[in-house]
Amino acid sequence: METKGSLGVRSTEVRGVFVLEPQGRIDSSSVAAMDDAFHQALSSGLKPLLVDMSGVEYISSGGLRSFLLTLKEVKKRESKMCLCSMTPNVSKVFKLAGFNTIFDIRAGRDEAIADLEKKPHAP
Amino acid sequence: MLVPFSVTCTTIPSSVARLHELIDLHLAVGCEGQEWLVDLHIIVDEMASNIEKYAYPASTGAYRVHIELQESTVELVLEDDGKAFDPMMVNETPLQGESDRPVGRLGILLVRSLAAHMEYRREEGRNMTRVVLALPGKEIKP
Repeated sequence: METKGSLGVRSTEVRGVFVLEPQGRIDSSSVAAMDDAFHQALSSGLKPLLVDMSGVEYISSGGLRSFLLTLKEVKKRESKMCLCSMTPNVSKVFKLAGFNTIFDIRAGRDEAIADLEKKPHAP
Repeated sequence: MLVPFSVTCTTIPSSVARLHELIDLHLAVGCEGQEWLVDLHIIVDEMASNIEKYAYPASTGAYRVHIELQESTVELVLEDDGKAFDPMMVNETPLQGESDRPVGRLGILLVRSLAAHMEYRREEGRNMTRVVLALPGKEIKP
């Protein structure tokens, strides 16, 4: 697990889906850990990517940018990225920034993995 | 006990992590996870990061942060002697399905969305920004 400041990120693979589980706060002092985790995910090949947000206390704009850059790279590679299990505080920030209109966000992890398993690549 | 605090910060090395620690130390006891506290962390992160990235382009510099819990609000004041920057002039809007749009001023959008009130003035070469957060269930006095 990558840990920097107030954020640790665990990575696993579940049924062909690369799953990241950030734990803590994604802000300007900790975003480097998220960047490193995304880099690891992208280096793992064309696997679909799920970010389980259940352990994220909050996210600031630096974190949003890291997510956006990763989404762009995933799309370029014609793969898929999904987020799940957002806490209310994180969901609020995604909506304020309009990021809920560009990310595939699911309520739960099982649902997200099942969907990514069925359709791992962008159409 | 919830107490006001003031701290002088540097842009290099970054003081943002320390500011988050001070908020946890001075304000968070008994309030962990509450929405207003999370909003405060985000606002401080955005405002302090902005100063650290842009206020002193050629060198390191100092800035001052004051946070005070009042009856119905939390007040945050940031001051720096760097380049003039008025956050009230930023016109960032939320994305609407367009992931290719540049998102340079998202932080200010978040601050203005989370805060009950924000004001800026520049005096004698100093940027002064005041941000007010409403506490839950409290009416803000004008």
